[in-house]
Amino acid sequence: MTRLASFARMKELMTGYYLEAKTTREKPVIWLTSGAPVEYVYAAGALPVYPENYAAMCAASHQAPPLLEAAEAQGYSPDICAYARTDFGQDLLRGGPAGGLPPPQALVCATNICRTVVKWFEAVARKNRAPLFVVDMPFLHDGLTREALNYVLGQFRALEGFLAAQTGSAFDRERLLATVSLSREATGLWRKTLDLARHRPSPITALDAFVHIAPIVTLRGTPQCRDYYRELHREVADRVVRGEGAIPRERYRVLWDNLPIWHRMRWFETFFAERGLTLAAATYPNSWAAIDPPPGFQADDPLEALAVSYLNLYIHFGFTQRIDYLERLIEEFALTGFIMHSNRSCKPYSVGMYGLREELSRRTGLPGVVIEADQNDPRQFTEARTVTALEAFLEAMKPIDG
Amino acid sequence: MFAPFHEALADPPGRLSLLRRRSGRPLIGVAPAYFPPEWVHAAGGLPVAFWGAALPVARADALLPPYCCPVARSILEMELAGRTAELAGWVFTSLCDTLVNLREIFRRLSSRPTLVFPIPLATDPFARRRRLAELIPAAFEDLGRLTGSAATGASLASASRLYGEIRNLQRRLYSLRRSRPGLIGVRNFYAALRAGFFMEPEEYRGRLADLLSRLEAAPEPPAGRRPRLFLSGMVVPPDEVLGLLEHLGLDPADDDFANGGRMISRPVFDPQDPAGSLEAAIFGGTPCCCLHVPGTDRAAVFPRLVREAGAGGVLLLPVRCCEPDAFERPAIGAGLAAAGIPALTMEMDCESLPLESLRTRLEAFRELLEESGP
Ligand code: SF4
Ligand code: SF4
Repeated sequence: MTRLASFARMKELMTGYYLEAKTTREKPVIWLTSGAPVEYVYAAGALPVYPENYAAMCAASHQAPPLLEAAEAQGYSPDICAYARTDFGQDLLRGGPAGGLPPPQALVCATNICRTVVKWFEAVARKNRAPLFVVDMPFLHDGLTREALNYVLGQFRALEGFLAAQTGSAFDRERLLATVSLSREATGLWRKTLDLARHRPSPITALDAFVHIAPIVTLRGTPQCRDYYRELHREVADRVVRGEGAIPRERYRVLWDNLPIWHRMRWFETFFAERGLTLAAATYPNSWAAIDPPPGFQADDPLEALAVSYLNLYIHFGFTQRIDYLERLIEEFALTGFIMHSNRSCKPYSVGMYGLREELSRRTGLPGVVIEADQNDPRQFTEARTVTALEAFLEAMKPIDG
Repeated sequence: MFAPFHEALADPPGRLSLLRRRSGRPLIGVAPAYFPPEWVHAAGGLPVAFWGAALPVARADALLPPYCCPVARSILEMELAGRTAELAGWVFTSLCDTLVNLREIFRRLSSRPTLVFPIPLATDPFARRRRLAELIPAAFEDLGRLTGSAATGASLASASRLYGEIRNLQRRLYSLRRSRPGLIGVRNFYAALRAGFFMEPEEYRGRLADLLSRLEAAPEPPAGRRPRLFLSGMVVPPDEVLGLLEHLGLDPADDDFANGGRMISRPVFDPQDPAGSLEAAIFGGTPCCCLHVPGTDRAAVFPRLVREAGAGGVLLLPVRCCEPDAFERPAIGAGLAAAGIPALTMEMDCESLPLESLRTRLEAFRELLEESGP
């Protein structure tokens, strides 16, 4: 894999972000889940901190194991999401690449990724005696509904009051609209960048996308975030012009479903590159890439459009919609197969995956494989078992040049 | 006295056919938790609640990973094994991430209708109340699809009355257990409670009322100091574990199981105040690890519940892989330790119960409680 030059810029951006989070005196630190409407937090002049992002950084830099163990020693069961355990561990040991996260003054949690985050954030709120605001986003068993949208919009309005109480100043609607507009630009650029993987060879892989996800998660709604994705898009688009692929010889184009296995990024990169496999599409990075809303929900009102984008997430879809979406990705990105990560940590992503794999294979006629692992907990990863499963999958898959 | 209750639980598939024949109503499976059974009854159905079962899981392995809780796995196993074939449909709530997806799995298995009631978790009380109000008519519409008939004002009022009476009887059963230690055996107690999930409500009400009058008139059990426990967990543990408690002379004074103490502490639905009473029926009462109730900290409330029950120790019986429960365990453990209340945690995996090791740990715990005295 040829590393994208933007990587250095991203590191710089993220270092600056964590530095500010650790040192700020004037901005209230608000902890957020990755699917919470951060635009409100930026508009309120507060500083959002994402324990999920930090947990992923800990795992990617191989610093998660002692944190997981510390949390377990405190009585947190290995059955709970490893992001949460990593977070509890960083708090106990002040561990990870930034030496721990700043404690929250308040927390905002949205249920559009899972209900697990409610329990996680409740625990953090209890420990820090900090107020918690839950934005409840009903699961879309049968697609988006007007009632669900109105329910969320009502909570967005209440969130303004909650944040005003945290910052001590009135909530500024104008500033919110400006933030939302920046956020839309950034998510649009992110989506355009990911869509470039439709080209053959693909100029970017999902493994790149997993790495470059950090700013769209944490800085969504800031000018730096928009500028960063402009730069990234330019760089990836240049690769397309030059006909340059992300890996030397693309033979297989594959979809990755579920979170990455952060502690094995380099291993997967090498394994896939050696076999000519490009992860040309993935569901996870698309969570911040504004999936097209269903008909009837293309709102002109920016706040309504924002609510739609937060509700309309793959992990938040009923299975029919999930399968349709996966099938669409397979078709649009001209894929040759799919890999599903049965992620012990993430029940909303993984429970039901075995059936989805069968169904997707039946519908598309393409091979799919489920690998058992965990996004953050290396103890749940067995290399030999994974290699066997992936080799069998590769054998069953027809290469694009075959 | 307890035979009819045990009988109701003995053979679920046989029981379901009997219930269908006897009641003439379509049977509706109700998955955990907090969906008002009185709604199903008002819509012409007979609710049958499933809280997981102690059975080996084989078929469900093809659809659910091992890191899924045995409650979900065993419910799916029963469905796949045809043990729930008598059901006309299923009702789910969005209690946890696993159940949200389990509903999606169920609806792809067969054409039998399923309904989901999304429990709102919004912090904002207005949003929550408004949401509940709009969910009620939608739920009744879906229920009508499941049962083939619509609830009316009269049927709802009468079902709420019926289930309200049952709830009161169950509360009497709980308070009897609390006030008269040793009167009711552990297995018998939970059979009398859980039989309600597999009986016609009219019959259950009658049998429970009869049981209570007999128990209330029964002579005092022989005095003797038996360690009194508060039991905690998502669901009542398998019968083998209850039998073990009984055998070891450990005497539950109270519990907070979602199909036990949490359930009976909640009011039933009141058609006079739909949104308000539904809110109370879900969020009121003993705190539940699966719900977000602003201003309520279950860990802080817990020691008080134990003291009020007059229990000398707590037996935490978390279901394996139940995340909502697992998140709260450290705080609950710390709260109990700070209050000087001894606690023992034993994970429940009804797919395989290591009874011998459970017994050893329970014996040690009993000794500890006996030493520490009341
Ligand atoms: S990994 Fe899954 S369970 Fe964990 S916080 Fe993210 S969405 Fe929730
Ligand atoms: S036991 Fe826990 S994880 Fe399982 S269904 Fe119940 S609440 Fe969900």
